[in-house]
Amino acid sequence: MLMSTFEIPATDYTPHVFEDSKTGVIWFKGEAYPENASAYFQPIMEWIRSRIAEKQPLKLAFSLDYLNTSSTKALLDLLAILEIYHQQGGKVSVIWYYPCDLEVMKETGEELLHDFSLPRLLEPVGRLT
Amino acid sequence: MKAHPGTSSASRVVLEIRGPVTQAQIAAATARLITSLVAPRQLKHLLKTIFVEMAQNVLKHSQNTSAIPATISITDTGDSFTIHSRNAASPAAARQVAEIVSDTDQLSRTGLVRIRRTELHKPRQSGCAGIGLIEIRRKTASPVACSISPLSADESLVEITATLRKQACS
Repeated sequence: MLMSTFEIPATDYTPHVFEDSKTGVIWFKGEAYPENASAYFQPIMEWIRSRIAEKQPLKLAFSLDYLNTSSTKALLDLLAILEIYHQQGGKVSVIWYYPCDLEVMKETGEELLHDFSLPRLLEPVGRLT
Repeated sequence: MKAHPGTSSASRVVLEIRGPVTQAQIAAATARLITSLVAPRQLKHLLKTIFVEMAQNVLKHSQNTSAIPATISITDTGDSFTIHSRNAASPAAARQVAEIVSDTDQLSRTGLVRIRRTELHKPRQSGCAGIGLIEIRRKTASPVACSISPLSADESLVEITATLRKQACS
């Protein structure tokens, strides 16, 4: 998989964030409970803002095993930026992947996207273990 | 910090963390606990949710100068898990926690979802455990117990206990 220059490696409690330069999809994979979610997501927000300033189409894919409330709040801030871009005519789409045996993560995705009109898809995935 | 992963039908502490701790230590302990538990994935995920939310509070209070270290533990009582945290806080912060617990105690699931959404869309406030407590109340579907004990004019002891019933998640 080809990566762009923007990439934040995963830790045990933060996700792997990267753009797949082949598909253009911006991925969030793994765990999301940083000690300071606001600080953690700040560079990601700045990067997304720069992409919006360039009027780039944005495809975001979330494949998170877990996220805490602080990260949920940070993602809502991110989605709010995307919502404005979408309403201004920007091309944005969001895919929320959730384990097929973990209904709670589907619910999390539904709740996150509830207040937004962004094109979205909630997609179950099988266990990879 | 010490961790005792494992389950049995007898009531026993399966994990205990005592401050000061780091986020990496919390993550490592959580991973060990979840890996070792023999339980449905949904139950493990809910336990992780509650533990991590409460552990963030322990982490926050790990730097306190209080003589009382922040602690969090999980006890397997057979038919449920009891998650208990204890930390010193300012009297104002302690009152705030007690008020949130009291305010959310009688709310239905719909009411909890609504208040959580409202809180999530508010501007960030530092030092407030509000949304985390709402989340714990919602995920456990059980009342959260809160005990406040004054230690001095500047400090109170805050104890929070959440109960996650195993049957509700199976």
